[in-house]
Parts: sequence; structure tokens; C-alpha cells
Amino acid sequence: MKLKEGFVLRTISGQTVVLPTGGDLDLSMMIKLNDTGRFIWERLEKGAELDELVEDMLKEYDVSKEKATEYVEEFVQKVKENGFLA
Amino acid sequence: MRNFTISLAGFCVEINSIFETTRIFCRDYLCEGVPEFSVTISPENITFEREKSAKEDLLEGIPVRQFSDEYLETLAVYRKICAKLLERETLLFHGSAIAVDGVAYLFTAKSGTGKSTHTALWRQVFKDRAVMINDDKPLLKLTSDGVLVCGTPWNGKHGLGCNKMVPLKAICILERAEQNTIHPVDAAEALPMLLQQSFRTGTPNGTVLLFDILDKLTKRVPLYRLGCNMDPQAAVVSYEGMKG
Repeated sequence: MKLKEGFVLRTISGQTVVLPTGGDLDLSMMIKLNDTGRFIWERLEKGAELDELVEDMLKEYDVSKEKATEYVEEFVQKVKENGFLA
Repeated sequence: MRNFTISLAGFCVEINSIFETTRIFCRDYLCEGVPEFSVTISPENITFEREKSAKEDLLEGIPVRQFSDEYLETLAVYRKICAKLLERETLLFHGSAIAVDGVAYLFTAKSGTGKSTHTALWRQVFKDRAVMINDDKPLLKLTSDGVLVCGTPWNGKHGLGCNKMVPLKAICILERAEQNTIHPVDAAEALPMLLQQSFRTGTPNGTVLLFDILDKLTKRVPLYRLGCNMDPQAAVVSYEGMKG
């Protein structure tokens, strides 16, 4: 799984946001991410599969495998629904 | 081709324009000196501006406005300059900037909300103490001493502004309201509006540069939200809320 090209992730005054870089910026396309969201997004940029994402989550955060899987699946689903996957 | 040099936000810029009118448009900003960079206008740049403007009119649902090549060239010049200025921590920000006692306040809002109307109230209330820096498209320059608002020739349809650089005291998002109220807002809340009102290149590199400028800007300059009516008292409430 990999994200489409043409997004920029940045932290502005403590707020992590993702923006499309296309000329006609539609602000409804601005996505705010929390820390975990950012963690997954950055891995999706490089291309990562669901099981890798869960593994990385377990290394980074003190959560159960069940919770991590749930979170990753939910996040990836949202990314997919919004058409951000390549 | 016409060739001339202007000083904008303290940067010396060489312009190669098709029309003499662009030099006249920039007359208050002409300078001598070694340019830091130059911009050159081609007929394609003018076509781009015409198509972009038509597209925006269609999006807004208004009849497509017709503009002269001369006018469109001024837009093309500013677009090219602003893309270069992003690399120099200087941002075109859509708003009305007015200085009182030598420090500037920048009002921003969607078109038609009444930015210019509000700064007109400031001039009415503060009279000689108030100086319009730019009524439409000022430049914001990040410096080690803080943020400067800089006058530019692109100062709106009434040509309100001057060739001055003034420290920026605050940025204020303006909304119409029955009562006049002002309160501070944090960067997260203001961000969508700030992004909307900032010059964007539509390129990945330009977007990264813009994000970094906005990050620094929101750390250095306090942000407010003003609900205001058209009474001169609105200027008083707004000034008292931000002057610190």
C-alpha cells in the first residue's frame, strides 16, 4: 500500500496537517492528524502493508496487538475512502 | 521587452515585462541596484492568468470578467515574484494592512466580508495616526526581529497603500456581527483561513515553504477573531483588543 503523490505533511504550530499540493487548493482536503495518524501516514508514504504497520505500532506504542490492528485498519480505511491510496 | 528593477520587501527584483504599463504600475517601487533575481513575462503567462481568472469566476458562479493583457501582466509578474519570495521567508498574504503609531494590524477574511470597510473605519477613527500599508496583497517578511508588513504596488482596486515596511503587531480574522467583539484564537483554529489567504504555488516545494513560513508566522504573531459591524466603534474595539 502506498499513498498517492502530491501530498505534503507538515507540523504548523503543533498541529500536524496534510495538504494536497495541486494548484487549486480545496481546503476540505486539508487533513489534521494526531500523533498516531502521523506515524501511520509517514509509513504509508514509503509504502507499507497492514501487518508491517501493526508491527511498527507495537514497537512504538504501548498498546495491545488487538488495539493496534483496529486502529491501523480504521485509519487505512479512511485513507482509502478519501482516495489517497495509489 | 521592457526592463526595470523594483525593490519589494527589501529585495531588489528585475522585471522583464511586455508592456510599459507594468513599469508605470510599479513606479513607486522602482530602484537602482543589483537584482537578487529576475522575472520575465511571456504571452503564455498572460494566457495562464486569463484562464485562471475565468475559472475562478465560474467557480464563484459570476459572469466571466474580461481583463486587458496589461492588467493580466501585473498579476503574472506578482505570481512569479511571490514564488521566488517564498524561498526568502516572505509571503503574499491576502488582507488589508493598516499601521497605527508605526505598528501594523492585518485584517483578513473571505472576499466581500468587509476588510477594506473595517480599515476605512480605522482611518476615520485614528486619522493622522493611521497609515494604510496595503489594502489587498501585502507581503509578510519574516526577520530575526519579527515580522514586517511590506507595501507593494498590488494594493487593491482603490490603490490604498504605500511603499513602507512596518512591524506586524497582529493578524485578525474578520467576521460580520451585530455586536463588536474580539478574542484571541490559536493557530490550529486560524490555520484554514491563513492557508486560504496565502499565496500558493501549487508545487510540492512551494507548499513545504508555505507551511514553514506559516509555522513561524503563527509562533511570532498573535492571532485574533473579530466580530464587527460597520460602526466606527468597531475600530476602537478591534484596536483596544490587539494593541496589548
